[in-house]
Amino acid sequence: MRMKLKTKIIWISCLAVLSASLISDIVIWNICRISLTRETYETVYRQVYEDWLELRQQLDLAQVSRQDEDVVLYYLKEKQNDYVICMKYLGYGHMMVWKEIFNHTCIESTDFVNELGWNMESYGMMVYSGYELEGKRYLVFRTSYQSDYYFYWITDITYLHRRLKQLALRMLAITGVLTVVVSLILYRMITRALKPLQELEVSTQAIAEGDYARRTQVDQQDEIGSLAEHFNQMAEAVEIRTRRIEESEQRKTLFMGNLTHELKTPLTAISGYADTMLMMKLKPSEEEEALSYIQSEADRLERLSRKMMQLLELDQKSEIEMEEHSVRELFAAVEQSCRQILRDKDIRLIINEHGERLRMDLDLMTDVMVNLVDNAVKASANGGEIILRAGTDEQGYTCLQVEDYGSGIPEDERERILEPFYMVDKSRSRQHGGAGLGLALVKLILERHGMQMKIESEVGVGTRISIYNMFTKR
Amino acid sequence: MSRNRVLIVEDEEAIGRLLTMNLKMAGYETVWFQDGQEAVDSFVKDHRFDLALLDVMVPGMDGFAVMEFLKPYGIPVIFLTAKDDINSKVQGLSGGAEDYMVKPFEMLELLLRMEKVLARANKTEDILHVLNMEINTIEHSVKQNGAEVSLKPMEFELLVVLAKNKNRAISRENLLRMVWGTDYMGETRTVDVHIGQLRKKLKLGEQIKTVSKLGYRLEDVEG
Repeated sequence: MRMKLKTKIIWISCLAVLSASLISDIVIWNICRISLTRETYETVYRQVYEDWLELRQQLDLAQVSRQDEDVVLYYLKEKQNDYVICMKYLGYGHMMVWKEIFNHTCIESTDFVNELGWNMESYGMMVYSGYELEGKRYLVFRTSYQSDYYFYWITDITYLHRRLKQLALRMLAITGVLTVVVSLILYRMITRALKPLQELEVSTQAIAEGDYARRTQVDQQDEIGSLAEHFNQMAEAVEIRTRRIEESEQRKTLFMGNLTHELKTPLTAISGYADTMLMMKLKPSEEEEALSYIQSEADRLERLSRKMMQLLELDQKSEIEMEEHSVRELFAAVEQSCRQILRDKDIRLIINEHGERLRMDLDLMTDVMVNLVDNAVKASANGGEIILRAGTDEQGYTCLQVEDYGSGIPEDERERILEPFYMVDKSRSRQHGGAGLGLALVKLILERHGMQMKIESEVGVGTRISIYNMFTKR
Repeated sequence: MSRNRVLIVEDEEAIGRLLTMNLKMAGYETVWFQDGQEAVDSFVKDHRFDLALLDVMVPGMDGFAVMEFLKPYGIPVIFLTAKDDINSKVQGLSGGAEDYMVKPFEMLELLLRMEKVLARANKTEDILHVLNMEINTIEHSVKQNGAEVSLKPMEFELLVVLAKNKNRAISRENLLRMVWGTDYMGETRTVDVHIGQLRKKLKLGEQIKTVSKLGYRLEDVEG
């Protein structure tokens, strides 16, 4: 059976309160019973003992003998104590025969005496026993005179038992009320204490159903509060991780979609030219042309797959190896790699750095800069210039810039150029051998470095791409 | 004899060149643009086209927009695109395109579809001129150097297919399908027999080439 934790705790605590209070009731009631009984017995004993002393004195003075039943009777009557039974013992051998001398009570004496028998407990100078008749309780003390006369002093102590019963009932009532009150208080306290748990449960369910942004609000300075705090930390970690996986998955799906899309053009060309060459009688010059297209399109496929692999590897690699290098080193590597394309268009590369240093994977960062310079070269007219700049921001992070005075990027395309395969001017960049993966790769590499890229551009004026640390305030 | 003029808008150089090369061989006259805007600009001056092949994703102006300019002139459009999603197909076809080819496509299929589209637009020539022959597709008659040559119906159909796809090798299987129909249960041997007859009757032993393993090709290199 599934029981709510709250119900369980309340049941257990109520049982605990109830049993504790019952045990203390029993202990207290017993103490009360013992002391009350002792007190009552003591009082009764004194009273009886006084009466008995007086009677014995009178009997001694009268020198009562075995035959003087009338004298005993006389004194007893004179005492006007109706709660005394006097019996004379006539011991015929083994038989125990009693004779009733005085009895004003409604108790049938022979039975009474036989019932009490000889086994009475001693109390002070007398022996006593309890006796019950018609719902009433009596305390009976017995005294004897010259082994002939036996006096049974009967005292009604029903009131003692009634008092004890009343006490027990009162204590039970108090216990009941106490249990109810304590239960109510506990219920409220536990409800309040467990409320965050309920909220945690709801949040857990929400997260399980996919609401990863869900958090709990618990301001409690106890274990539940810290549990909620840790829960939130866990949810945060799960959310970040899930989002990262989703993003990576999305990126991969996009890559794959774009890749198949991008594969179609070279495939159409390659199979189309091959088909043409097989099926048609071409002039030698046309055959040569077809072959050269087959080759260049196959090259394009190869470049595409290589960049694709690079992109996927980079996406999977958990950590990149970063070391501190000087920006001068980086720029020198870039200049080296771009020398040919710069020379082809007669473009001057102006380098502007002041000994800045940067933690990076030098090879990957060189890839980034070469990609950006390559784009800048493609956008620039012959004989232009491109500026490579390094600087330090207010937080002390090194930032980099590539600036050109080329054709610029239209505003509505600035976001989209970061998508894999996107090209601003498709025919132009394809003619230049681009596959459209460059900036997507750049963005990914920068992300892995904890850096980001800002593109400022105006059509016909030029483009400035800034690379700066993610924590740089703008 | 007038050739069908085809407007091609395709930004990929390799594909564009492939199309012009094949269409020229098949006897079309082509004008090729790599930019949608340029195509439209020049179209204003010269709109004598029988058909347009448009790539959807081209710089300048996309294929759908270019089609809007061609509509008033009743120029049928076939889209060529790498986009294989239903949305762009619907957009293209409901926008008035005659057909839609998804890359990668086969040249033979494109040529057949172009032919169908031209036939629907009544822009095909009823009389085909190949080599020294004049093939009248309405009267089902062939004149060689002015003299009528009698051909059996299937021989005539085969000649028309070869003539329409001149300079292109067509496999026996494809010939069987194109001439006799898809549900014809014959053997490729039938094709060989009919080709033999054509060669004999029209003295085309040289011009109808057997391309090893591939099929037959009617060569008319002058075109």
